[in-house]
Amino acid sequence: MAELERSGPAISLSGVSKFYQNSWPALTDVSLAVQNGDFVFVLGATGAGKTTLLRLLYRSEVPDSGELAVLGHDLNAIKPRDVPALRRRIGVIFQDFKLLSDRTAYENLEFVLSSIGTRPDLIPERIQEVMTQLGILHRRDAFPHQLSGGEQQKVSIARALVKEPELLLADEPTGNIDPKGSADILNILKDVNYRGTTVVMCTHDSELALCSGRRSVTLDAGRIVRDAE
Amino acid sequence: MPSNHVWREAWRSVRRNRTSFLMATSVQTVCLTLLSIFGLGTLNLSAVVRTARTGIEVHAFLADNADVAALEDRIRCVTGVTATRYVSKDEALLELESEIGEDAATTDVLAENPLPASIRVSLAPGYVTEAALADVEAKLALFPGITEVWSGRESLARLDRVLRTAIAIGIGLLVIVSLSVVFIVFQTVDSSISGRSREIEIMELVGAPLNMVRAPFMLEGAGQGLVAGIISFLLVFVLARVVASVIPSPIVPVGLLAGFDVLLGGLLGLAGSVLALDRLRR
Repeated sequence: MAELERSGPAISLSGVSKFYQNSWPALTDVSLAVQNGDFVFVLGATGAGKTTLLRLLYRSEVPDSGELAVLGHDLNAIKPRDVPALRRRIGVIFQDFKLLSDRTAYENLEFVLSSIGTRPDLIPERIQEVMTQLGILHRRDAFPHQLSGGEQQKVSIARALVKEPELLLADEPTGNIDPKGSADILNILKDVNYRGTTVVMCTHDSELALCSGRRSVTLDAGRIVRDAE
Repeated sequence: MPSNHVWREAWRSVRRNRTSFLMATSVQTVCLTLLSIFGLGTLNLSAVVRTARTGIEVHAFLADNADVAALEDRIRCVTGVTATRYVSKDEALLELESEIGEDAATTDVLAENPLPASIRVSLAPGYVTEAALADVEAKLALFPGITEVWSGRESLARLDRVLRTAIAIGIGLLVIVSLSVVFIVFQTVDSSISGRSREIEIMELVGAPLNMVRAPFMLEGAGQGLVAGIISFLLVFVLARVVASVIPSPIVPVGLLAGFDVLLGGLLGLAGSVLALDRLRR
């Protein structure tokens, strides 16, 4: 798994605001630091700004004001041609999985590794390693519609992990999964974090955060209202 | 050289959109074929005009008492004249009879040979133009002993006009076909991009280099154009063979035709896909 960078935070936001078209504030004056190796929950109801925050972190959006740095990159100054290199260090997991429906679980992972230019001879071994770690190797030849919600999310996690990211961003990864499956997913993310990857997980399920005993940052109407261990 | 991944993804896209790929390629093939046929036709017309030019002789018709030798000497001094030959009245009649062919009997009803003797004047290639012929005609008409001068420049002018029109139409066709092919490829690749938006989203999310995202679509577009070009070349080649059995020695520059069709098809296909990919930049 990823080696930790011991100097500088993995994520640093300072006075970040983001407005959408009609001047509706998605985030207002958000300041936050996440150290390498941390596991942070971002809590909040729907519309609190959790997804906007994640989109800023993987540079799908740019802030309207404030400073934002991820893995040593100033996201206000980063050139568009350098964004892919940053994203190769970041894994992203979504609530709706975003798997390719016409490819098997194995092919979904292979697609990612081929796209980022991984040597073809290294791909099978890497995929096998990650799928074994997540306990889904036996489902490698299944298409997404043949998988349960929990299995699909594991494939989605595997897809994020297969490129050995330093930072893992999870947007409501348990949103479409039953409680047992959710516990499974959370354990996987904790294990990933234990191996050294910084994890930021957005969820509206404050119980999940409470039970894990990890740091949680609560958003409400685009502002941080609580930041506690 | 594109990686295996790029080839695989391009082929996957083609397989997924088989029908639209085939239809788009068919339309492009028709466009390129029509353009090639017209181009070949213009090429052959140009050859006909060139041949016609080389055969042009100015006919200077002589009075009965004309001093032929002196006239030939004077005519050879006119700028552009390369050779002269005297055609007597009898030779002129024989020429007419051979041209008329089986109706030669009609000449038998004539009491006497009405055809005048003439001097046939050959010109250098650079002087076989409407303006130069008119100039030569005007000069020869002034020579004593020459009753009339005929050069066939009106026919040449007509041929030239036809050729210029054909070339202009050819250029117009090239522009129209090019725009059509680019548009068709644009539509097909744009549709592919829309159909593969999830894949593109994931590639961008995982940090695939932009050229990896774009390359499969560029291959798809160029491939479409190349396939259309190859089929077009084969169709025109076969058609030319059929025509050759009817018309003797048509000009069919196979290498040039193949290169034109394949290169034009490929380039236009690439252009269409690059335009469609512009939205990915945004």
